[in-house]
Parts: sequence; C-alpha cells; structure tokens
Amino acid sequence: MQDAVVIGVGETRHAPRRDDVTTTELAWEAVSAALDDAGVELDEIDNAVTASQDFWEGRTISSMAVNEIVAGYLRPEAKVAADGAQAVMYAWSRIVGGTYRLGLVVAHCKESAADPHEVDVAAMDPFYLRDLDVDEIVAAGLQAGRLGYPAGLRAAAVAACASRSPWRDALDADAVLASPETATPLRELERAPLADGACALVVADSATAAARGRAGVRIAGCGTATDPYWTDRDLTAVPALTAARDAALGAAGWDRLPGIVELAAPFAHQALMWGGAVGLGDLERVVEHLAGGGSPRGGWLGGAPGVVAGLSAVAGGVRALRERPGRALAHGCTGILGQSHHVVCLEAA
Amino acid sequence: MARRVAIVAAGQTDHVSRRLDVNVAELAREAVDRCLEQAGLAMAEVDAVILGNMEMFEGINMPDQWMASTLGAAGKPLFKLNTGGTVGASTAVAATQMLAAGTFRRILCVGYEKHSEGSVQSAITTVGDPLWERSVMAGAIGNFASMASVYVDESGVTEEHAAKVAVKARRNACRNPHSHLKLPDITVEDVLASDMLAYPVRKLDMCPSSDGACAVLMASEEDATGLAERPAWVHAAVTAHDQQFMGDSLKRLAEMRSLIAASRKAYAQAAIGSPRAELDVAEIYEPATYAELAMYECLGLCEKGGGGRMIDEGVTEMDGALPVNPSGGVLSANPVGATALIRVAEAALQTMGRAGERQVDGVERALATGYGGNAWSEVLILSADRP
Repeated sequence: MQDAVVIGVGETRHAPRRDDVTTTELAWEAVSAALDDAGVELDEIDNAVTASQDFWEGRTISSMAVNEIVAGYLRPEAKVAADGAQAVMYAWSRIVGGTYRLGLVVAHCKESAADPHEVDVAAMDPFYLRDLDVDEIVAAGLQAGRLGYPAGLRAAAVAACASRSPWRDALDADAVLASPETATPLRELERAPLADGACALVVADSATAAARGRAGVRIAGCGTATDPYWTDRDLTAVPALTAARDAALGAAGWDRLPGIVELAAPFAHQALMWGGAVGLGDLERVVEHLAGGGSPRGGWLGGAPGVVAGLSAVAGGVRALRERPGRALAHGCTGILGQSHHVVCLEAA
Repeated sequence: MARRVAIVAAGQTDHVSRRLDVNVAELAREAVDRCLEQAGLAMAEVDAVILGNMEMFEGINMPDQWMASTLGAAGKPLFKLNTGGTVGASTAVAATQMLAAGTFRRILCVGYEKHSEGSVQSAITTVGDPLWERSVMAGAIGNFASMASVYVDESGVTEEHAAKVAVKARRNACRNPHSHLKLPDITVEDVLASDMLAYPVRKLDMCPSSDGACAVLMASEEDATGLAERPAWVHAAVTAHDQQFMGDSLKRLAEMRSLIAASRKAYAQAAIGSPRAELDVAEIYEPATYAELAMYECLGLCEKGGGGRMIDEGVTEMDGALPVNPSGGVLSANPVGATALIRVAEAALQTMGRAGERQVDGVERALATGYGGNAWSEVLILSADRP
C-alpha cells in the first residue's frame, strides 16, 4: 500500500463574478497553477477526479467543460456531484489502492452564471416542497431559529472568517448585524457570498513524489457520511459530520484534533454548529478557533464558492503545513443544510 | 491492485416506458432490495453507496441527498457520480478502486433513471458546449445518425446489417424478464420498414427510453466468497474519455478512440491476448444498432470493417461463438443512469451462472462496457477465477 501525498496546489482568485473567463478557462487557472506548483506536466497525469454540480453549471455532465484540461483525453476522469473534499477521498482511494500514481483533483463552480434560488428549489423535495418555492436561505432560517445561537456569536463567526480570507474584504460583526434580514433570524451577511472559482490538487503516491523530490503533504485519512434529507432529521444535530470525522481520524490513526481545522459552512450558525460536531468545543471556543487562526482562510464563509469550498480547505491545509509542519483537518459539505460531510486529514510528510 | 474485488449480487427492476406506481427513489430502492435479497444481506451490512444518475434528466438537483433515506444510505458514506451514459459502469469502477484500497469492504452501486418524468432530449442538448455546440444540438438521435453515417461510409455496413442487430437484441430480450422491448416476432423487414428518424437510423435501430434501476453489490476478497457461491471477480476496470468537442472526433463510432484505448488496457490487465477467443460473453452498451457493429471492431472482436460480417455469420447470436448482449442490450432497455450498470450486472450474472433463461453455457470470462459523454468508455472484465 502506498501513501497518497499532495505535491501541488492551485487556486483561482475567487470573486463574485468572473466574466473574463469561461468555466474551462477558470478551471485551467487552478489546474495550471497546481501543475506548476508540483513541477508536473499535464501529459504526465494518469487520472483525474473532478467535482461539480450540473445545476450550478447549467450543463448535463458538467465535467465535459474540464475533461481535456484535466488530462481526460483517452484517460480516466470521474466526476463526483459533491463538494471537492469528497473528490479527494475518491482520489486518495485510487492512489492508496495502487490503481493510479499521479492524479488531479479539481473542483469548479461559476455561481454567478446560475440563478441560486432556482438551483436550490430544484434540490427541494419535488412532491412536498418545490411548489412552496422554498430555498436554502429559508431552510437555514428555520435551522438557525431552532438552534437559537446568539446573533452576536454568529456575527463574530462571520467576521472571524472574513478577516482570515484572502478573497473577502474585512468585515466586522456590527456590519453583519446591520445587514438586511433575509430569513428570520438570519441576516444577509450570515450567508457565504456567492463566488466564481476553482481549486486543484496534484496527488501522487509516495514513491512518485519521492522520485520527483517532493515531500508533499500526506493525506493521512478521509471520511464521508450522509444524514437524512433536511426535512427528515433533527436540524439541531449533525451526526454525519461526527461520523465522517471519526472515520477520517480512524484511518489516519489520530486520537485528537489537530490545531488547524478548516470548516466549510455556508451559514454563520452552521460554522458554530459544525465546530461543535467536529469537536472544537462550545460556541465561544469555536469563535476563538475561527478568530485565532485555526481556520487559516475562513472556509466557505471566507469566500470560496460552493462545491469548491471543501477542496479549498484542503489546499489551505496543505499550504499551512508547508509553512509549519504538523497536522491539519479539512472539511467540506454537500446538500441542503449540510446533509453530507467530508473530512480529510493532512499530515506533513 | 492491493485487494481483489468481486461482484457478489445484482438486482434490477423490470424496465418499462412508464412506472406510475413509484417515484424515482422508490424505483431505485426496488433494485436495491432485489440485489440485497440475492446476497442475503441487510442494508445495515453495506458500508457505502455509490449512486449514478443524470440530475437534469428528472430535473432533481442533488437527488442523492433527497433519496438517501429511501435508498438506505442515510448514516453511511454516499457518493454521487455523474459521467453521462457511462455512469452506471463508473459506479462499478469507483467501487472497485475503493474496495481495492481497503476504504470499504462492501459497496452498493446503484443506477436509475425515470425518463417518463423528465425531458431527456432537452437535457442531453445541454451536454454540448454552451458557446459552440449547444445551439445546433438536438438530442441523441441526430448525434447517433451523424456518427452512423460516417461509420457506414467507412465500413460499408448496410441497413440490413444494422437491422439484424435490432432483431437479435429484441429476440434476446424475450428471455430476460427485466427487458423493456420484447419483440419475439420481429424481422429484418420490420426494422427496415420502421420510420426513418434521421438517416440512416430508423426507429427500430434506436434504444428506447425506459424507467428502471439497477443495483450491484461489490465486495473485497475478505467478504466476497462468503456472500456468493461463485463471485464474479473484477480482472479489469478501465475508463477512457475522448475530447469534449464533437468536431474533434468526427469518426467517433467508426474509430472510437476511447473504446479502443480502454479495451486494450483492460485486455492487458486481464492477460487477454485474443478477446474473440478468450471472452465467453459480452454485454456492450450499444445505444443504436450501428454502434454495436462499430463496437465489435473497436473492441477488437473482428478486423476493422468486419462488423457486418460478424452479424452475418451469427458470431454474436446466443448460439454463436461470442454471444453479445444476451440480455437484449440497450436496444431493449435503456434507463440511462442504470444502463451501463445493467451491462455490468448482466456480465456478472453470466459469470456467476445466475442469468436464468438468458444464461450462456460455460461462461468463465465476461466483458461489459459503458458508453457516455462525448464517446467516453468504461470497460470491465469479470471472471469466475480469482485474479
């Protein structure tokens, strides 16, 4: 069995609108940067796992847009319709199992090109919810109402994530609290901003990485789990995240969380909730973690696009471990109110 | 690979044009239940689920999330793949790779489509590049017609050759309780008299639109022999894609580069030197009659230009030297998200000796393919022998 190590990372400038590029060009920005970072030519790549959502892309088989730029011509590319952190788990299995040696993991989304409300409504139960025109903001308002977290802590979580972000302007808690109410009790700035962007990793087996003189960052373990649909579960609990964490930590052989834990949450109250479920402690401790640098780039609330946020967390963890060896945990989630959770454990090789 | 992997059970619905009695989640669960029943396993004993489907076909975004509980996947790792028509086979390939890595021990692959509830041809049109191709795309039939035209020109196959494929498929389907189009009395003349859809493709040359689902249980070697008397071991599981723009691959069927590449790699992995002689049965993803003939050539089952001769000589009939699609194939049932997984399931059932009336005698080694995207391919080789 080989270890899987990340030897290259690349990421676009995530921005509200990238009208200057097509989806293919956007993804290539991230892929070419990752290849350069790894010192690898595209022709050397032997497989790719991509992450995208057809409804956001407005395209059936949305990986068609990136197939050639991930070395898919006459080679294997597979697309997960989920956050990019889950794509890492699939890519990790391909390397660890010895199927492939040098691969790309790519996530891309151009949220500006879609109607977010319509995309959300299409994810609602087609029999009981769709005609109500409910979207995820409404669902998140119901969840936040049930949780009853103090507005000040929610706002502090957003401010902490924005202050860490390479892509967002700094934001203080008062600005969050002063933003318009969207779905009681939520304010507009409690939701992650919509963005266009892409992220890519070059992943290799340890022998290939060593032969290239790249120590890389080891993918020590991965886990993923899914909860029931949002109307079928207790919205104040997130057992799938705890299960994914346990699976990932178990695979990594870790008995505690590392100092770096980057969580992908599209809403402020979820950042607090996910923090508790992953084991960071109570609400105040989670805010301290976010503000104190434990989440290096602020996750989804830091401005990474949906679908890309989890892979961006992995890329952030890799960069952090290059500067300061140790361990990091990266997280992504998929579905309305974070139904599926994906956890990746990283370790300086 | 680090661990050996096998298919231990398969279940599918009875595919029809319209299932008004179930919703999409219930349709998929029906296949899951039939699969688990064959394995004698409860859903709680499955480690992970990999689901394949095209979201836009039914117009449900993230259907995996909505159907998680109905599938029995809530509380488990759930992966949703979408690679086009190949997706069912993509789930089996993914399961093979995850099981080989030891990530899980038992994975349930599920594919489904309920075409009656969506606008499939509209959704297929969105496969095209939004800037360069979409405005001139018009669903699947025109696409296959253009490919078939090139193939006819290159190979010299005739409408009669294609019609023989249509007859073989729909007669074979009569032995398959799950098949959608069972036409026991169909003749070559019937096919040639059917409506011309887009030259040279006639109505009976094309696959139907079906409502249906398929589930396949795969296990790593620790569990495989305990779950099936005669598991179908995976000897090769290979994916190859072609370029994304149709104009970059004009001879897509006549010279299907992805299928040639994937099959040659699969043959090498399975140590097959002469596929025509060493394979006992094949379940190939033939969305149109002309495609099956071209795929004989691309798979190396005959020489280039020999597709017509293969069907003339009866090589691929049930009693031929290499039966192709004893199930009736895609021409007889086509719930797209499940279609490639059905090919894998049928190849596994043949290998396991559990194909009922459509069983080919003495199957030791079977081939299954998936077709999707812009001429993308998946190739799996299964064998009764542990690798």
